[in-house]
Amino acid sequence: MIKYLSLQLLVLIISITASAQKFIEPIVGYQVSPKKYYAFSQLNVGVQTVLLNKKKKPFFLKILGSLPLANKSLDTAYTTNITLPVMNLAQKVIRPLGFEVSIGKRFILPINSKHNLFSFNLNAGIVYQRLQVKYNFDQKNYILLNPQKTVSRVGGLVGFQIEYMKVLKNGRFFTQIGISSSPINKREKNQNNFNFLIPIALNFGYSIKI
Amino acid sequence: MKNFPIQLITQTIVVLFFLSCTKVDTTFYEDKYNNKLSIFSNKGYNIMSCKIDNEPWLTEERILKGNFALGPSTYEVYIRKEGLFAVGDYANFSWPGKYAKSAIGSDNINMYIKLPQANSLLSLNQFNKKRIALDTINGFFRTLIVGSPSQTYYSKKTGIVFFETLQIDSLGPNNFRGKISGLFETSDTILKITKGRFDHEIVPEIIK
Repeated sequence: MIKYLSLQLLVLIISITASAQKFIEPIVGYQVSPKKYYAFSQLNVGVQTVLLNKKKKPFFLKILGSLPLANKSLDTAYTTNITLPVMNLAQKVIRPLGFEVSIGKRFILPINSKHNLFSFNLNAGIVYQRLQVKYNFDQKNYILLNPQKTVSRVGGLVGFQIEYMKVLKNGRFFTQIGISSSPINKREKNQNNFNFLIPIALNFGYSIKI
Repeated sequence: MKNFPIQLITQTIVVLFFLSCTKVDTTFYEDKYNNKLSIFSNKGYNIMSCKIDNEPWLTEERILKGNFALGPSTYEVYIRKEGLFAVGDYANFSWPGKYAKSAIGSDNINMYIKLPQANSLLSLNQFNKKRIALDTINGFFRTLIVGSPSQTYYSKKTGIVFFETLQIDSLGPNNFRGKISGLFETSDTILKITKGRFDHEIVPEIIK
């Protein structure tokens, strides 16, 4: 499936880049995952290139890195050593990292004025997520109860964003709120009580004509 | 010969039918801090693992069999009332299993706990969240390990057990359900058990 998606992405990138390139758009933002047990959060840094096809419809190629913001919590560890307290706390730190490459299309809504553009975007591509779990506790004497493990997954991605764009004198400022899927791939059973992120993102960008 | 494919299909369906009546109800997740041992959990993974003289040892899988499957279900733990000094004064937690490196085995680890109230398995509930030193009077361990001298089984081992969860509910006479999880170790030097952890869902077939 990953090979198929990669091939599709490559073909689309080649076909789009064959047309004239118009804008480059740096993006920063913040995203959270509203999953049941853990609200993971990440900082987004990326860039997208907006290209116009022959019908002047805007397509974009997006590369986005999602840097982890540490999620700290406490778990419990126990011991049979009677010289020590039976229970001890273990600090757990989960760092969710993400990286995506996708292509998408801006559907500009017909309610726009000349300087204010509203659109919705659809994108699809490939995403990698890694949820790193680290514990800080007395490993020699204590045993963790229900430990979690580091997991990673590569898979397909689909996303949807609503976007507002302000046309300025030397460029275009935009903000977008959107949601993306977690990596679409075969599920592997594990002991974790958290899942891969389905991020809700608030991003800001600046569109520079090139 | 003409009927061969039909026979083959029929036999395959029959075999698949019987196999489908069997379910493995044990979940193993490896502990990254103690290779080849299961994690310490309280989720009802139905497993016990430990190290015996530093060698990983695990219980057999819980295999549930339906009405059409061949043979009875097998469990990774059995809890029985036993009379050592008086009728029903101890609860015997018996774990059948083998070393992780062994393909087959029929070892057994037993943990005897003196019942706070004679003949009452429900009285074990007061050990929930408790750590108990088993000093041979209030409890002890016995290990039956294939290849070890038989006298090692009959010697009572002292040790420690911690019940993270010990919840037994009575649904009627000799009909119990619940869950237990915890840690244990022995303090003997021969067949020394360390890093022991268990997590079981208690069903009536296990506990009598």
